[in-house]
Amino acid sequence: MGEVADIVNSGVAIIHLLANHAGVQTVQGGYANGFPMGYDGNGSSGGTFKQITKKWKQSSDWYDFLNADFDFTVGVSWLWGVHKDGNGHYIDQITATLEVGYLPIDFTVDVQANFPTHGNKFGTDDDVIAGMPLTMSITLDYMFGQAVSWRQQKNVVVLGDGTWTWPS
Amino acid sequence: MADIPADAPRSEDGHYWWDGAQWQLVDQAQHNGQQAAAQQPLTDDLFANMLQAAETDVAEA
Repeated sequence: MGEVADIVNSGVAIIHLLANHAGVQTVQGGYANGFPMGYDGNGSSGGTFKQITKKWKQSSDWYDFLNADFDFTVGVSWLWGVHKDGNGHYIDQITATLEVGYLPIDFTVDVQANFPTHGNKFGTDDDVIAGMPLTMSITLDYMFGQAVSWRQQKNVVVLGDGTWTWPS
Repeated sequence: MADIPADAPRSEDGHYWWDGAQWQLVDQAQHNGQQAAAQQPLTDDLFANMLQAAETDVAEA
């Protein structure tokens, strides 16, 4: 197999999820993917879904003055190990996830995943491992007498061999 | 009256605390002090600390 061009995200560039005590709302959904330029994924085969998650759960009176239990999970899921003509480890259907067990009233969770137009190539040209970096921005807002806010941004990478990185 | 342990369970109205065997009346002065503490504003820093304590490591689902 000849040289593989850049890994291209021909899917969505942004996934935006929003949650409050009433549930999760998809503001902007869809999937990103990571195929080489000029290759739309038709004829590819195989692959296994994987999901990585990070959970925030508060279930006790952390402060005397704040009895606010919450339980939500942010994640990324993707299809890895996709082959083309028996070669490569490509990725597809990359998306952000947000699941809510419980949120107090006036508590919102905002998750935005930003995908670049190009991913990274790992492995060799004969056995490409596609990798797609994404930026996960998690913003929490809470009105408890006054408005408070918290934001975390992480550069996550998911790869076609099923591995991943999510900095702590 | 004995000092109330910081982690002692409280009644919902805040007037009683559990000593491990029975409910005890919270001293009124102490109760008033705690009400003052209850009015402490939730700041961004406290909110961040609370979230950090509730955060778990990334895991494969």
